[in-house]
Amino acid sequence: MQPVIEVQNLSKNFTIRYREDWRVYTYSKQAVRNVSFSVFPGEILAIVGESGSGKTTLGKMMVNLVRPSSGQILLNGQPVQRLSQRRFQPLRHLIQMVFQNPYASLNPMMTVREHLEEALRLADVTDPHAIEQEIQQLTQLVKLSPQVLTEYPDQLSGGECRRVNLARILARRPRILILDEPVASLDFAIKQIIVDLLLELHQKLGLTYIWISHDLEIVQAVAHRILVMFDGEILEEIPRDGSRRDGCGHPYTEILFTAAHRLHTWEQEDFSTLGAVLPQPTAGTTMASRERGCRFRSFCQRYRTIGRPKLCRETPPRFKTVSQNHLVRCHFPWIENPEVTPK
Amino acid sequence: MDLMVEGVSIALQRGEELAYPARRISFTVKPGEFLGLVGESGSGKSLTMLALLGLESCSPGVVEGRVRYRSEQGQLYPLEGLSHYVRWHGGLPRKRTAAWQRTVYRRMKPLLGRRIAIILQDAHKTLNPFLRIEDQLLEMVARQGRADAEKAGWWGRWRQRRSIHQQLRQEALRLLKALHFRDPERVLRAYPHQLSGGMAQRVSLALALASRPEFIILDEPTTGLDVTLQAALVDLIRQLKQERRLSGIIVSHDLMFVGKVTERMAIMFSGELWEIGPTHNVIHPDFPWKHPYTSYLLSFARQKRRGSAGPAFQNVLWQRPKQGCPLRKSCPVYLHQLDMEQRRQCDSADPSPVPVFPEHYIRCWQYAWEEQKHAAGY
Ligand SMILES: Nc1ncnc2c1ncn2[C@@H]1O[C@H](COP(=O)(O)OP(=O)(O)OP(=O)(O)O)[C@@H](O)[C@H]1O
Ligand code: SF4
Ligand SMILES: [Mg+2]
Repeated sequence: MQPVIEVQNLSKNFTIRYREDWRVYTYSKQAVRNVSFSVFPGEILAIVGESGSGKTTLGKMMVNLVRPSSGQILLNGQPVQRLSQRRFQPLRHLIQMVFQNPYASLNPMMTVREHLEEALRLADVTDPHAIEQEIQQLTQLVKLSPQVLTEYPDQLSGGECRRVNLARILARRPRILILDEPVASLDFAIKQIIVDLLLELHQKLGLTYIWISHDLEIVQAVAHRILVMFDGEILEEIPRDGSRRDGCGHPYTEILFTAAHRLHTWEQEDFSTLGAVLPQPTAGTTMASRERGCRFRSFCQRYRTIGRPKLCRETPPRFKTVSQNHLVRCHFPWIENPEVTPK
Repeated sequence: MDLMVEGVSIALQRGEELAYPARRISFTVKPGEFLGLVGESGSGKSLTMLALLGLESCSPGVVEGRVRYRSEQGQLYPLEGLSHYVRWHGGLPRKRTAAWQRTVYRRMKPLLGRRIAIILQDAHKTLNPFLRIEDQLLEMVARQGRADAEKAGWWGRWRQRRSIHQQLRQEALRLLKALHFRDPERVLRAYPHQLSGGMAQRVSLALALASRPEFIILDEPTTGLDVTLQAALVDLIRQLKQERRLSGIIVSHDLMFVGKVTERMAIMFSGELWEIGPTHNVIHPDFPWKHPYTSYLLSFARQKRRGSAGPAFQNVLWQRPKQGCPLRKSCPVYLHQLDMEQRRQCDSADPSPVPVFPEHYIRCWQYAWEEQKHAAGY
């Protein structure tokens, strides 16, 4: 099958400049490092990872809101990373992004109806009668009640706000949606409703999703493939079923799943053992100083237990295929005590 | 230190008349203790918190009841004075004069943003988009330094004058590291739009902690944080509770997160509290006394996904029935378990809080009957 999106060796450097004492200082941060993956039509690809690991940046690069520093993005085989906004315009029918903060992406001075009208105008629907019909259809599609149409964004609840965003984006009839935390900060019931709605739309309209999320449970339930990101790199690619049956996995994924598992029990848990990935107040480990070897090793429990092998210190790990469709970027992908990790 | 909320109702202007998104809320938060306020979205949790602190965005605010805060020195501050409206014995709420407002704000100035900190749900609302994080954070740190210097007399003030930028920066960096930033230097130099969602959330936490508060209100603190950071936040809150005897309120719908850091939990729905008690009892599946709405929430959290946790409760915030228990239209116990006699009771009057355990109150007629039987010597 031909992939709809192919990302090849994509990187993004951000620099922060500031002036002090008549000199200019810069901090640079590589938000995305040499990332490659492809997305197939009709797939739900999930991206999980640390906060600040470049998930949103990756999504923004795919919809041409952030210009990549290097690398290639192929949309249906066509390279798009160098297109200007105007040249990209026709492709916006293909790919759209739903942003992390639903309130920030709506204009507080416009009612919901005006938002939808604007989106439809951009989709070249000009006839007022057609606009009216389309609005009807869209609100039905995302199951919004018609009263909401006259309200302003700050009168909407979190769930409604997300639905308005979805409706607005579906007005352009995209094929691929990048969902940045579609269900964050919603309560159990509404989360369920939105997830069901998204899955229904996926079925009905045959969409492709790139689903960025922190909620591992939902991601495990809906996604066909999961990419795990840490500090701008993809560390593991987990296929849907049998994700951990082969007894392999990256240490970071292990930490993520352990934390999720412990957070989602009713017992009063002790989290001090997770300190490994989180730099302690005094340690001040910076990732930038670790250009040789595995960049994860200062946080890696496995590296310590197997006696700091030279391989980890000298050679950066490549992706290793440990079972079908399961790729791990680690020299020692075997989990010692698999019963610690759920699934 | 401690916050005492007694029978607070909150009003909102809705067209001509006033609506009451929260009614007769009572709870206390003791020193070194956290209260979890749990409920589904749209049940008025965030609004209650904002109104308790008299924040402008929800004027009129508190129109009934008392809110008192006792500081570390044992001074009592009546917070209900911060609201823009006042209600005289049985009359309609009336707007307070601007002069009153000014006096109250002057009196409360040492309290808000210093002793009491609040973290809003949307981190980007807390941060000023035109200033670097450095400028915002150092301001908070410096302000605390100034307060310390005032206490320390002339010697402190002299040192304060010399307390250079660098010292403040060290303090700020220490704070950011405690919140698990990998590269705090870069974060200090960044503008808010250059941070990711989770980083902005943590920066706003740092801002709140920089003023070294005694009391903290966290509104959905886990938004945008990955699971390891959520676990770290649990650790951090526990640590602050131990070290500084920090107390506060956590507003969230993540029952399990709240269950890990709080001592007491209050269940809110439709703008009213239905159950308040020790966290362990409230969330324990085998604890025999539970409000029907609590059981509904728990079953939702428990089975995680798929399948139904029974039909949803109807939010009656804006169409509250005049008489009887406002939840009865959708309460499974009322619909399926009670006989006619008992239903009549539910129809006729609003249940009042019944103690089922020390410091554990449930507002439901089921337990009121048990109580009556008990009193009658059955
Ligand atoms: N415009 C910008 N200028 C400078 N740095 C930026 C900019 N946008 C993002 N960054 C940096 O890039 C990194 C990745 O940010 P990104 O928003 O992609 O993270 P994320 O994975 O979405 O995290 P979260 O889960 O917290 O939203 C962060 O360290 C952030 O500070
Ligand atoms: S390559 Fe070595 S250091 Fe890196 S993650 Fe694997 S075991 Fe840890
Ligand atoms: Mg993000």
